[in-house]
Amino acid sequence: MYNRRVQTFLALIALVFLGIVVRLWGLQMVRGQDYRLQIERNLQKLDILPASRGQILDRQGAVLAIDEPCFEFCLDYHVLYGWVPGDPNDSFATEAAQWRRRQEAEWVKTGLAADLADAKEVYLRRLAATWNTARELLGGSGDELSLTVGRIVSRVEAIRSSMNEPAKIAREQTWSHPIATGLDQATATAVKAKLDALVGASVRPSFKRRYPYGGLACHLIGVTGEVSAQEQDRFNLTDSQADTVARLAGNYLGGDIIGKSGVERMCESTLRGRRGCQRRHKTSGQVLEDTPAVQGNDVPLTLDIHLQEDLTRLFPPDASGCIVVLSVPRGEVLAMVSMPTFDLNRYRADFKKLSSDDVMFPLRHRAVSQLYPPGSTIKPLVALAALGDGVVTPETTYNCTGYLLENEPNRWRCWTVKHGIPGHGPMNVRDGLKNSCNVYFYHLGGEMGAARLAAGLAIFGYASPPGTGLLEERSGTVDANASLDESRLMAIGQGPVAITPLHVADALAAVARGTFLSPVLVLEGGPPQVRRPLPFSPVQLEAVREGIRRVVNEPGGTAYKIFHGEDIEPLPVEVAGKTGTATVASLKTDDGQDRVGDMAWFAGYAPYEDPQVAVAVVVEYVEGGAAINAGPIARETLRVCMRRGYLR
Amino acid sequence: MAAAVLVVWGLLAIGVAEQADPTIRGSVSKQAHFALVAVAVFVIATLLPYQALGRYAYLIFAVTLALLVTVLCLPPIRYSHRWIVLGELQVQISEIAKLSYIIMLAWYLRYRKNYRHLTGLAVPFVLTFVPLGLILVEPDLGTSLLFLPTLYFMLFMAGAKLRHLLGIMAVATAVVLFPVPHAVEPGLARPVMAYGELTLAGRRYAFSAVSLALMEPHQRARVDGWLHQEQLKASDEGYQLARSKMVIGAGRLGGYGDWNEGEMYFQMLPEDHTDFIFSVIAGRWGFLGCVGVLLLYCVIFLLGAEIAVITYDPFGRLLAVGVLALLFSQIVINIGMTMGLMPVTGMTLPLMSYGGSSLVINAAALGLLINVGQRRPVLLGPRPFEHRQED
Repeated sequence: MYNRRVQTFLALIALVFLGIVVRLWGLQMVRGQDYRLQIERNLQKLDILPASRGQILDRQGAVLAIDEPCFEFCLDYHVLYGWVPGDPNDSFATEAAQWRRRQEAEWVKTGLAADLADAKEVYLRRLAATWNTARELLGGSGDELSLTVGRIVSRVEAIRSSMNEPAKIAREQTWSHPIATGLDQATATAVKAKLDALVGASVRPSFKRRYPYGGLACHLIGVTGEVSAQEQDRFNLTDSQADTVARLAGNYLGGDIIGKSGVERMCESTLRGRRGCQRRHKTSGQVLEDTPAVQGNDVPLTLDIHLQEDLTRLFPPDASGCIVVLSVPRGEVLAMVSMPTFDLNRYRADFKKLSSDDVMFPLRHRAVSQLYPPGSTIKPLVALAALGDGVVTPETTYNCTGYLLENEPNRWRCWTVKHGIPGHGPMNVRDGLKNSCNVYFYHLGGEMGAARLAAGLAIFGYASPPGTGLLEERSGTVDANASLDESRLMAIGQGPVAITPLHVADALAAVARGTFLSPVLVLEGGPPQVRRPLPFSPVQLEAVREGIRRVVNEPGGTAYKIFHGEDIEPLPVEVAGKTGTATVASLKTDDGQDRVGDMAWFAGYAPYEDPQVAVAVVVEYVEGGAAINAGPIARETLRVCMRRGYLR
Repeated sequence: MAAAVLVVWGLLAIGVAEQADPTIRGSVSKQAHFALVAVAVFVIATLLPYQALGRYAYLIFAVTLALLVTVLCLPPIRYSHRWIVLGELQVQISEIAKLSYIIMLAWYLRYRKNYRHLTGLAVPFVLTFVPLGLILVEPDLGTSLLFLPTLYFMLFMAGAKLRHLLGIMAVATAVVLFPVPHAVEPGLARPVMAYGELTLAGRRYAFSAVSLALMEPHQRARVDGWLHQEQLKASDEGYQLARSKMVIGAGRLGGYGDWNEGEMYFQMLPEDHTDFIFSVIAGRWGFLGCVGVLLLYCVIFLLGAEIAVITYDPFGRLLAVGVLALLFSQIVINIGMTMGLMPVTGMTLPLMSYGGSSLVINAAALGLLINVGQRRPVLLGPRPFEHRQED
């Protein structure tokens, strides 16, 4: 019986061992290759190679934005991780401890430290030196360093906690993270010399965005910044959409630069390169797989930066407003000035000041995103719409007595009343435009009604964004359900109608060429240009063009004195245009610096016979109307265009 | 002989681990010294009159229990009360307890047959639970768990009725699985292996088996890591197990030959030279190596079983069986845990893992086994434990 029990015991042992062998077979012979691959993956490390962002160029090839090589001081996540007390249940704690022990053991091996205890001392000394270096590079105070490191750590921890396999280590945890960026060659060399006495520190080549023209066309060029979580969600491919290398190359990783506004944002996909990556052996450093970085493509603009420069100088230094210059034949944006400007290179440093300025709003791209009441600049368009609709013919006349309705002489007044001059008398469309007669246009507005007025203005693109592709663009607003009173106001560019300066310039260009073209800003890769012939007969077009020619060129025209005044050197080309003075509510500010006055407009094109450029100028909150504010700027704008060869 | 080969092999494996992890530098030479001590202890253990040892069995056991109590009163080393520090040496008392326990149990069971009744089984069980409990509170779950299979094997070999043993096991299982409520530690997504859970006054409670409810949170985490091997948990244990399986699997048939590669990948395994030495062996020498190790253990078991059979001395028989049972339990628990067949507990692989106490005690145990084999007292009368059914 005892012997049988011994046999049973042996049989049990044999059975259990057999079970172990079966399990071993399963692990080693069946799934062995998988495990070996996993190990090999673990032994490898993906390093990323930065790709430079493409340049933004003007139409002559001048560089408006460029990635310049610089250096960045980086720290391994193993070091950064120590910044916050680690969660002991965190698998990275083990990894970080091993990383540290490996180095300490290495120092013992190379004789740098006498033993492991000494190596610990060395480590602590070097760690302190590392933080000191980082602090110095960030300007001496610890605040900036705390912010930077805190941001990186919370970003990486967020990535890790979102992983499905929490025990796995996030790729970001194996990387070095930039602490101080934009270092020049001299600083980089100095820091490199010290690296041996630091832990987990490295100096990497990197890129820094530079804007050679500083504040010129700053809104249009736009700024870049660190990618946000929402942007990552929107643009990044998921695991199921692309493999690791493709995702690494194309996806935005935390801290990546992305265009935040202007062309930088609009042409992000063209400008941004594809990161390269190298699969390396962790210890030997041998490169196993190498995908080179693809540099971003350049974006050539239709803009002429020198024209832009001259026009920026034209603008009174403390005023705000815009100048838009379009080429009439192709609808290209030649210059688009929004005042005030800011220096793109100092954007980040000045951001607080810029963003808190609620008087001048220097960050606003007025030319495409500020909605203004168009004032009288809308009149040529209303006239065309009315002619096209058959509400009037070129010869229809209305009598201007200074006001629209006999029984309400104080309500619908022509602008003449304010200046103490009598009404314009009988007006057809040409003279109505020449004199900017409100009464004539009250009649048109009232007879057309809001819906038809809105439809007419939509022909000129007022119901949609201008269409350059800039994401800041705003659609014009025209209320198609407005009341009769409001329709009358809309017909003189007040009331429920608002558009951007780019709308105005583009509409005048359309009047000049007889065809609507959406404005173009990017020579390649922008949105397709919209082209539609205007639904007006040549006679109708001629009547309106003649009207706005008279504005500038016939004595009595509202802009005659601006272009043909006594002290004015006349332009060698004939200009057609329209002034505008739009009334707005004053801008209340917290500190009592209220901005009061009108929006002064001038919109036109030249030469009259063979239109080449269209301009729109708006000056905000000024007294005295278009004649003394916007008009002269427009005139000088045309002169500059001529000097620059855009007007012959 | 087989034991010697295993020890040497163990040294080689520790060498591999040492190459990979510079912080355990010197482990091989230390272990080699331990091995020399172990050989000495082995020789002494073969020479001692083991019957005399038996006469002092209760005394030895009492001293061991006293030591176990002492160690609990000493300041903890690495968060547990396992070691007594003697100069340079740290002695793990629970290792000594294993051996003194089988000597005591063999001595206690040698001439009795009351354990063939259910009531007679009470004393052996009590004698088991005293050291088991003391070691459990150290805490050293792995070693304490060793006592139960050892007890079962010895009782079985001594002739306790199988149905009694199985019955007790069934009752124990039922008790162990009895659901009781316990607070779920905050931040845990789901309680481990709970029958159910409820939230009361803002705190979460789970109904789990008594055994789980009594566990420390880190022990529950281990069990969880073992149960959910495929989806790694954010615990060190899950990580260890995953790495261990990876290293074992990567060994394939003949092992990962390239030493430089090996050096690197063994670095991934914490505790590789102690509890996870089998993974290192599997990774370095592959399937063939593992089978070789198992075969060497088989040789020990066969020879041990032969000794247990040819010895007529009841104390000798039980001692031999106890040594084998102890070895077997350790091997199964250790290897099982490296492969994910069992939860991870601190358990050395006998004769191979790094660790002086374990090596010396296992050598002493084998010495006693040989000792029993060498002394075959003349026997008159029926062989012991050949009970007839009606007893």
